[in-house]
Formats: sequence, C-alpha cells, structure tokens
Amino acid sequence: METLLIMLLMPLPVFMGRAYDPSPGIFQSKEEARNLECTRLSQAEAHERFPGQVPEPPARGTWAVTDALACTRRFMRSGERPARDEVILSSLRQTVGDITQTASALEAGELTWHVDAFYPEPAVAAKISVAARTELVERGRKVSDRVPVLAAGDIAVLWQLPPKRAYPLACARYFAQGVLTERDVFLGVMIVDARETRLHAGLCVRGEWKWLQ
Amino acid sequence: MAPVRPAFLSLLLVVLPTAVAAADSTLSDAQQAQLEALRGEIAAQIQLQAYDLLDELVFGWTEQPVFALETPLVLADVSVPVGFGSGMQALIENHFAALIVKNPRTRVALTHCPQCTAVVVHSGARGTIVSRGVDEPEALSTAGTLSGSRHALFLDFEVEGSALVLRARITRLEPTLPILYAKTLSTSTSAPALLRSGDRLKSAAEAHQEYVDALRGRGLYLVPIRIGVRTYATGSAQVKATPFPWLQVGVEGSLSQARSWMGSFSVGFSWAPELHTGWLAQGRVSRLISGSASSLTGPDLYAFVGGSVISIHGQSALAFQDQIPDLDDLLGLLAGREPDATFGAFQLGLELRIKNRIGAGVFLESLPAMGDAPAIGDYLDLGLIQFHSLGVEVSFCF
Amino acid sequence: MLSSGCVTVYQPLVSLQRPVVVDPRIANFEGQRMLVRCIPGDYLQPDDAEQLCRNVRALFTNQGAQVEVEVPRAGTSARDEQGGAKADLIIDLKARLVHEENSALLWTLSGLTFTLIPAITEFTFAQEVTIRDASGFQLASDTLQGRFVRYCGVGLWAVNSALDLLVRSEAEELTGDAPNKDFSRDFHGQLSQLAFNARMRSWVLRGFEESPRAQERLPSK
Repeated sequence: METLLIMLLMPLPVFMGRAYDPSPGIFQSKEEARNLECTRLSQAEAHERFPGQVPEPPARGTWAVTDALACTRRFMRSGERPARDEVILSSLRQTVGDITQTASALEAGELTWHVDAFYPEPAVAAKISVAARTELVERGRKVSDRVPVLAAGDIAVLWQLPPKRAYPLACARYFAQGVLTERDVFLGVMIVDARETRLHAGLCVRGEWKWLQ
Repeated sequence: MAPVRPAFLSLLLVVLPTAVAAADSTLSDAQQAQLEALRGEIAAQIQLQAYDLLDELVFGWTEQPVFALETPLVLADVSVPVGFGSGMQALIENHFAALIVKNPRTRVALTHCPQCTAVVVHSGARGTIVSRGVDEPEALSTAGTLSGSRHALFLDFEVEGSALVLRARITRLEPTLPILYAKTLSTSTSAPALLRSGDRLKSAAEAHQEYVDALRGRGLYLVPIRIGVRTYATGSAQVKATPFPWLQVGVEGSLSQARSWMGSFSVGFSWAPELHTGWLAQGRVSRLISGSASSLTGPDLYAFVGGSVISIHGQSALAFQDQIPDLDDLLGLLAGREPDATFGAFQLGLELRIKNRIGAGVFLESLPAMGDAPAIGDYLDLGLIQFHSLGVEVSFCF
Repeated sequence: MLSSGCVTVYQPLVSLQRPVVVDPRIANFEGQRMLVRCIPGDYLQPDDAEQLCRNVRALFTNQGAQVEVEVPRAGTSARDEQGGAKADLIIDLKARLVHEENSALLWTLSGLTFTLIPAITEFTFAQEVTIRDASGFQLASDTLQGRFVRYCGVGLWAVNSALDLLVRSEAEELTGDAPNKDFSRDFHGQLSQLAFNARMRSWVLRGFEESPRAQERLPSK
C-alpha cells in the first residue's frame, strides 16, 4: 500500500510544475483547451505584459526557459455563436481595417462616406457597418451615419438578382435617385456565398460599382 | 525511449474527410444549463472589461475634449456583443452616466431624449419612414422634441476572440447625420484590470505602471515571523513528549513577483519553564498550488517541504532518547546534569497566505533519527517514511 | 513497444481552432485546378513535405478539385511556373518550428524511476498557408499554430488509457491516434475554408466570371 502511495507521489513534482499547462490532460478537457487563444512570447515581452507572473529576464542571459506561452480564454466558447458569425466577428477589426485601408486609398478626395453591410444576420450586419464607419472616421474620412435607402420597388427587383448584377445596379439606382451624389461614396461590405467566412467589399462612386475584395 | 521528433505535420495528418464535418450542435438540457451558467460568469467578466473601456473613453475626453464648450449629448444606443442579452446595457448606461457626472472636464452633459431612441413614424417627400428618432432627426426636429440635444452618442461593444472592443461614435443630429467623433478601444488581452476609480481616471499606461509599482512594492524578500506548536505522537513507552511551542524568524525569497516558488531560511527558539530550551534552524521550499501567480487580493495556498535541525536542552529532551528514561536519568537531573537531544527533521505541509502578510499552516514532520525512540510514535507511516510530529503555525510577514 | 507508453497531446494555439463553415465532404472546388506546393525547410524535410502534399491533394481531390502537387527543391523552379500558369489556385505550405522543449534531465529521471516520472517533450509549430491565383495575386494567407506535448511514462499512459476507456467521451479521448485525428480535422478544415475564401475572392475580383478553365457551377446567393 505504502509503495503504491509512493509510486503515485513520485510524478507529483513534475505535474505540479505543469499544473497550469493549457494543453488538454487529466484536469483540462480538449474543449476547454480549444477555448483558449495562446501565443508564444519572449520572456522580456511576457514580463512586460504579465509583470505579476513572469520574472524579468536576467541581464546576462540564462540557459533556462526564456519564453512563455500566454493564453487567454475566449469570451464566447466554441459553439455559442453560429460558426460564420463567430469567425466574422472575431476577425472584425482586421478585416474591416483591410477593407477601409484599400477603400481610403482608392478614393482620397473630400467625399462623404456612407457604409452598409449585407449579411444574413442583421445583428452581425450592424456590427460590421459600425466597425467600418468607425474605422473610416479614424482614418480621417468624413462619414455619415445615414444609410442610403432605395425605394421599395428597387429593393424588390434587386433582391431577385445575383450579386454580380445586384450591387452595380443598386449603385446606379442610388445615383439616379439622388440618394448619393458626386460628393458621396458608398462602401458596401458583404458575403456572397453562405460558405465563406471572409467579407467582400465594393465601392459605389458616381454611380459606378467597383469590387475591392 | 527516443524523444518525439519535432517535425512533419505530414506524418500527423490523417486523411479523414468524413471526420472533418462541422460538429452537431444539439445540446442536452444539462449542457444548456451549464452553458447558461458559463454565460453568466463570462458576462460578469465582460461587464468589468466594458467598464474599463468606458473609463478609458471618458479619460480620453477629459484629456482631449470632443467639444470646445459644454455640449448636451444623448446616449442614443448601447449595443452589447452578439449573443448576449440586454441586461448588460443598463449597467453600462449607469456606469457611463456616473463617469460623465464625476468628470466635468469632458465638456459633455448627458441629456434625456426619450423620442430619440423611440421608434418614430415620419411622412415626408420620400414617403413614410419608420425608424428610431436618432436615425431621422428631421422627424424629431419637426416635432420639436430634440430639446436642445444636437448630438447623439452610440456605444457598441463586441467580443472579438478574447478581446472586448468598444466602438464609440458621436453623430450630429442633422439630416446628413455626420459622424463628428469615432474611437475604437480594445481590451488588451493581457493587461490586468485597471481598477480606476470613476472620479480619478487614469490612462491605461498609468494604470499599468501603478500595477507594476504595486507589484514592486511587495518586494521579492520578506521577513516571516512564525509562531507554532509541534506535537509528537505517543510511542510504545508510557512517557509522552510534551507539545513544543516555537517562535521562528527568518528570511523568505521568491524568484519572481508571481511567487509561485519561494524559499526560506529561519531560526527558531522554544522555551518551557523547568522543561526545556530549544533551538532550531530550518530551510523550506514552497510551491504555490492555488494558481499560477500569487494573488494581490485573495488568499494563496502553498505546499512546502523543508528540513530542520533541532536541538533541545532540558527535561523534555529525555523523550527523544533511544531508551525509556530510567532512574539514572532522573538522578542526573537532580544532580543538575541537563539532558539534550539534537536531531534532524523533514517537513511536508500546507500554508494558506493572505496577501503575503498573514499565513496559517499545518505540517507533518518526520524525524528519521527517532525511529527507535520509545517515547515517539508516528502519526502516519508510509513504510519508507514515518511522520512523527504534527505542527500548526501562524506567520506574519514584514 | 516503448512508444506505446507515451501519450501525445495536441493543442491548437492560433487559428487552428477557428470555426469552419465549409463542409470538406462536399464538392466545394468542382472544376478548379489547384497547385499545392509544400516547401521544405529546416522543419519540413523533403520526404515529409511530399507526404504532406499527398495528403492535401487527397483533401482537395475529395472536394472536386484537380490537384497537382509539387515539392520545390533547390534550383528547380521551371515546373513551378508552368504549373502555376495552369492553376486557378496555388497553395503554398511552409512549416517552421516555433519552440521546442526536451529536457535531458527529465529523461534521465524518467529512466531512473522506470518512467514513473514521465519524460515530457513538446514542440510548437507554425504552418504558413498562402493562396495565390495564376497571376501571383495573393488571395488569402494565414498562419496556423499548434503544439504537441508528448508524455512518456507508464503511469501516465495507464491513467489516461483508463480515463479514455471509462470516463471520456470519444471526442475527448487523448490516447491512440486521437491527436493525429484532431490535428487533421483542424488542419483540413482550416485549409478548406481558406481555399474556399480565396476561391470566392478570386471569383468576385474577376467580376463573377469564371476563369476559362473552371467549369463548375456558380454558387448563388
């Protein structure tokens, strides 16, 4: 009995040293491990970001461990939001940053920007357009909170068309109806296939539609 | 046994096209309940981080006000992360209002405009439009309900991976709805809670520096004073070792502010009138087991192992002899000959520390040289090692 | 025999655990021509790169694509250009070692205690994926990071085997080929999603015109 107890106690120091390892194991399930976002950092960077947990690297270097694995739990556990919404929302800053950067570079004049998002889930669409408007203002653009709206008849027709024709036609109608003028530019952000997780974007300037990505 | 060859993703890959499908997301009632509990827990964390972001936003306004003069502002909308209920909304509104009241330097005055957030129906040249008041300022203007508020604030929170992102924008309530100000703020995935008080806001950098200073203020070295009692198990003889009170003073050091590993060295003194005077020198290594870093606010639990050399002089030392005290020993005592015993001991114990200031511990001690002492029994016999003594202690660290 | 006392644990670190929408069991790339290039490096030996490429070819072939694979060797780039010109999507896969830990002291201790103290080795890798069209325009790129930790010890293996047998659900099992399956599921899922996103981007940027070579049906909104 005692020998068995000692045998069980032997690996204890090793396990105590790895008690906070984020990988799946006896005390952590795979599902929990998948809800972490982890990055490897140098010891200096880890100390800067986690001064309470990671010691300062020694001035003269060391043979011991010199990096850290920093893990943060995701707020939304996997499966809590629909997969596509989760991917789109999790990468919103980066995606919208890329789109607004490209768009700003193409239309650098003193124009008023309007933004709308075309996404099946209205709550996510609202988040996308808010993110794009905020980002454009931060890039120094003049942005309007007003969403250009077409007449009900136009919308009924556009709804039936494939994206290839729907967006250019909508752009032309915006211009024709005076919803957008020569001093306006419209940025549309959308997905065109239910299976994709990367947003596309297009610009409507002077009645002409241009795909950005 | 060869270590794993660190390579070849290819070798780890299995062709399993049928297994790659999206997982079924049907949840049992129990899983659903668990999910709800988790959601509640996460909401509490999000709320604190949302407060942090609001603090940072308002601090920014105190440093660089959006308006030159005090300006009425309508809090038009607070949107919470997709998937969260609206309970958080009210908490955010209240916190934001409190911040604005406590920080007049923002040059913003929150005003009440129920029509701004209500759904309004407006008939005009473009037809009949049903929308929120803030989205159709003409309607509000016509109805004369803007009550001096010409600016609307929108706060949008979204969860992006492990970060919470706040996007704030101020729109002028006129037909073109121009956005005057917009700001994106994100919780750094690693920064500790900034814990700023509403009336003395600080920048994130200042708050981080304060946290670092608080850590440094703790120092890596402490002077612990331990007051404890050791009791010894009764052995085969009728003689019983009395409990020993100990007072120990020493120095304790840790490698980092995490205090996950600590080492200490202390010397101790024990005295009982007519019975004994004792000395002790002890070294200990402690490992934090209640977390990866010691807490600034909560208790920490450490497991420790240690080694001591103990020297006892006086009557009590008789209990640590290899034989039952006999007549000779008693005569020796009467003749003024003081018995003594010096032996080594190993400890294994647990200590609960609060903010590294006050601690309480319990430990088992093995006295390898006391295996044959008839007066000393054991509390726990693991075959290879026996624990003869049980001790409790309280510590005060300076 | 000896390695049967080891438990390898896989942990996705960056992007590998991201949700996937595309279903790799169906024909997502019908009529598409793909060139998959597995670029050997310090971390990925040419033989391993070839095996990786074969594996990825099977993945995309099952989804309806015509896949060519290539393992570029030093000084050979001719086939590169020819193959690239014919392909709708060119997928470059490059792997690198981010971190490795393997303590000789722990192996010694493990040996002395007849593996009661387990020996632990771990490595973190980064798999870089870049997808371009035939003209070389970058359509998508990502870096997938994962970590493998291998515990070798008879006690630990026994405990985990017992837990797998008695307690854990199939999805939570750690022993056997569970890490390979988990990694494959993640890697194949992410690769399929990235390629699909790239394909859609290419399609949109061409004004929804299919390349002359692609004969598949257009997805509709």
